[in-house]
Amino acid sequence: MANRTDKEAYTIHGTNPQNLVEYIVRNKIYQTVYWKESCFALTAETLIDKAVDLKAAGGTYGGQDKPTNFMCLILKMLQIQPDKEIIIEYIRNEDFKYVRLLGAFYMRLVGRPLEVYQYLEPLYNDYRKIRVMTKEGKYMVSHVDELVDAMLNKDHLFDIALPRIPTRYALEKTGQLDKRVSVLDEEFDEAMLEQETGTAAERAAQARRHC
Amino acid sequence: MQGPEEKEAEKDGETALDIRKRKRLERDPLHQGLIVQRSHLKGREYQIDLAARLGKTQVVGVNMPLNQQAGYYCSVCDCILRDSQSYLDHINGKWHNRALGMTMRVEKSTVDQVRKRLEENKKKKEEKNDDDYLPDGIDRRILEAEQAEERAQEEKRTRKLEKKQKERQQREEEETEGADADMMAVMGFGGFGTTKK
Ligand SMILES: [Zn+2]
Repeated sequence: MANRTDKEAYTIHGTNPQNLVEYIVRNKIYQTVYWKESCFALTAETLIDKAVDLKAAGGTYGGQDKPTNFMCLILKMLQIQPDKEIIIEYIRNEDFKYVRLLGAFYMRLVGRPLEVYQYLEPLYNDYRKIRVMTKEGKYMVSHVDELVDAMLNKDHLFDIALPRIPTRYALEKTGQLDKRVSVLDEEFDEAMLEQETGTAAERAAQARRHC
Repeated sequence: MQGPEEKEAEKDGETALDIRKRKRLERDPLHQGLIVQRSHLKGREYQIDLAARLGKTQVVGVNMPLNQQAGYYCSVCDCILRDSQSYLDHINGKWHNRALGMTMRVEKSTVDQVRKRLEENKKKKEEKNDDDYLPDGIDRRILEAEQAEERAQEEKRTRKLEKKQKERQQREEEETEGADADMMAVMGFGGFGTTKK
């Protein structure tokens, strides 16, 4: 029915993709008015219109464990399974933070470990403010990079058990992943380099004086 | 919802389920040969405004024609739904959409469609001037408000200045007019027309 996973969808981690969202949460989502009214018949294209209106990320909240609209759209994506190129487009877009976060979270749920690191790590440079709906039903200010860090390093996020991925360290060890260079690292290196060349020049000058 | 169907069933020896199945087929444009293939599921282009009545169950009379009974009437399937929730479930459901000639699967979007949609939304956002709550948005709106105020003050100032200028001009005119009149009286002619002799 309107909740069924697309017939041609691939299984993810050996199961129906929608099963990544736990049974209880899933059924809560199917019961929301947002799902029934706004998520009906969405495609990867029309879903964008809904995603640009998101005001927060998050899982479920309040005494009733009400699912956020963010979580409804994640389930919708699991249902229709957009092509990988489309998810990358969601992530690459710079204009809509929550479209980017939907793409990143979806990639984290269904992507291969290397892809997950490849497409999520660049978002460490996105410091924009976002809102997260907490379990207690309050908005909390966070940032895109913070949330991406949680996606990469936590076991659970937004009431979803994140599929296991090897640590970055393990992937570096086996040579599958190069050492991550963050913008901050680069700046730090440059500063160090300047300092070093500075002292080197000084030393050279001193040496000349001594001669 | 079952009332009339059950009565019919007693007459024809069909079970309620048989009738429902038969009616479904009668409403199915594919089965009726009106279409060759069911189309993809498409989104509704209208807004369902149920919020006001949401969750409120309404009493459904038994002997009234379906479309006059209380509740939510679906004209496509000629059936009544008790409340807004079951109505929503119904119009999202397989049989209703099959009657509209659609499957339950949506079209697969292409990357190009997605890019275009993002672009369109970006344009829309720029036109709308973005009511984002974040600091950037606030800063811009404050700036705009300040600029608007400045403009208003500027206008006020120019208006005042113009008014003053006009008053001065008027005063001067009056004064010169007065002077002219005196002068003319002294010189003995009463108007320009008379200067030509
Ligand atoms: Zn219907």
